[in-house]
Amino acid sequence: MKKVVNRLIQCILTMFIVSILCFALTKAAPGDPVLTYVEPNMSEEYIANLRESMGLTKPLYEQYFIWLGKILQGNFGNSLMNNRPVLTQIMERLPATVILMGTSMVLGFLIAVLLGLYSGKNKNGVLDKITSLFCYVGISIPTFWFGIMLIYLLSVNLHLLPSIGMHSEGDRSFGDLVLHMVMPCAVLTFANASQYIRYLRSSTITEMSSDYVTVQTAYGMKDSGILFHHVLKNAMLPMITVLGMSLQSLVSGAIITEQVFAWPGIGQLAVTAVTQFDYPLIMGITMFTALLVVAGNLLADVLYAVFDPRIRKGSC
Amino acid sequence: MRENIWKNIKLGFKTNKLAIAGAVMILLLALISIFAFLYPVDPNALSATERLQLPTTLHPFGTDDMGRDYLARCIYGGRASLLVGFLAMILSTVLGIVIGSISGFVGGAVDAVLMRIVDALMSLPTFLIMIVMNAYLKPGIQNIVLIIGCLTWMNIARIVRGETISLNEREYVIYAKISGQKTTATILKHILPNIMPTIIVAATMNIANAILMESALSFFGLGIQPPTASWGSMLSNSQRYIQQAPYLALFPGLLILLTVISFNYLGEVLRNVFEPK
Repeated sequence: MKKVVNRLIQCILTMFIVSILCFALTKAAPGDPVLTYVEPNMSEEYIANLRESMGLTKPLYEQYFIWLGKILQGNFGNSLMNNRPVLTQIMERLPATVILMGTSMVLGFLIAVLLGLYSGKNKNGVLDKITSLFCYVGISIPTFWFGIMLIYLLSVNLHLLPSIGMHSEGDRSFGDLVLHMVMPCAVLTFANASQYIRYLRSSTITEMSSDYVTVQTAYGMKDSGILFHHVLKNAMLPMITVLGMSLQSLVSGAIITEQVFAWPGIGQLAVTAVTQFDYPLIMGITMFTALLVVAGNLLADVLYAVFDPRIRKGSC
Repeated sequence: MRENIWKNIKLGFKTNKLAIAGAVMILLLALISIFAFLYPVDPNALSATERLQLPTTLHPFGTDDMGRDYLARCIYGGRASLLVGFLAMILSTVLGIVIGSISGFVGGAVDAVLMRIVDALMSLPTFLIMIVMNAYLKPGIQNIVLIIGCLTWMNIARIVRGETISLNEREYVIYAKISGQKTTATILKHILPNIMPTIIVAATMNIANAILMESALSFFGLGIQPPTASWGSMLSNSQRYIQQAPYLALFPGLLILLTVISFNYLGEVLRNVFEPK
């Protein structure tokens, strides 16, 4: 129990530091926030009043706590671009990103389970060598280049798939969405799978040399049975941490891919915010993602304790 | 111990042909970047009559939309990428070593605070922060190095801290402390040499990452600014001419892939050499 409390305090501290960083960045931003509201015919006095009413004359730490209080109530302020609430804009973009990243994470995970288990069991076999090459390319390929090449091959040359966007004009059908998703999803799945495979392969290798595998083999259990019934369960444990860590990529992970395929998600929103110098929006997205990172890590720790009795009994 | 390491490295490369290929690739890229001036074509020379030419003997990689020789641009782009990769790696390694060893050696409250900062920085999505920081800093080589370096030192700091803590209990370190050696001297003389292999592995992979990040930033127009060539910005430019001139996208992308994969593979080989299972 003590450990759980400790872990929670740690999370809160982390978020606290992140929020200070975010606030500092907002303050360090070039330009005076008052100037957005100033018109040429306003008097000096009026501007000074405006500054005071916006809370800009208060000491910095006080401004920070006011800002933090608003954030805790879900008020991330309004965007400078269109004056709409930041949170609403994030929520509007969220589904597109989650659909894309979620699908590619699940697909990547399935591929990783199959290839990781197999190549871990047949270490140094032909398929293991091919898989390892696949992983090297997967972690080294610039996603934007892979995307451009796919567009060139499948859209420009072969006219098989739509090159950009999420829906065709006036077509909201599921089939159309799937067609638009194939390429961005392929790019992201490739990257995700190659990351996951490396973890699964190495933990499978460790598990394969443990006693229970030898015992099961001696009992005459089939290889596939051992692999899927026993090894998989244990090899999956480290994957919990990996998947927990990638929870944030559900939101931020697709920045590059979204840009290449003009996918209307959070990543694109972030890039627009940066290029338009829209600081409230930038900070909103950053805080939102950081929250997911902390939540993902916490979730991974909790799940780890649920699935691994050694940790549960050892600590709480 | 050190002789052993060199022997192991030799053995590792002897048994692994791909490792040699990776090392040769990196060496070649480095040499080409250093001796770029030997290719007597100006990467920024415009030519209105030679726009978007297919590769010929005169222009082995063709020309881009402004008639600039694409091979020259690829060479100078590689120079920028490698420079950013190496400088960012050096910055992140130095930061990581300093912060990690202080944290591990001093311990206590200092350690707790530094590690919480590491946690906080690691929980920020790196690429998002990079583009965010670009809104504050003027794009350019120094600032890219600064941004990438300042956001990638955490893994090295963690490694150094962990190793320092475990080495802290070893007899020779305790002896060094008791005999009145200064803290910095103990760290530099007795602790660092022992964790160098682990640091080298992490640093090699950091180069690969830095090059990928630089190209992605430049792809968004947030990195190295035109007219200076960079593989990332060349790729983003090529998107518009993908129909007429697909080779514009092919060359820089392949170069990035080859460079990054070489560094990643080299890091993996070194890891196997230093930490035999």
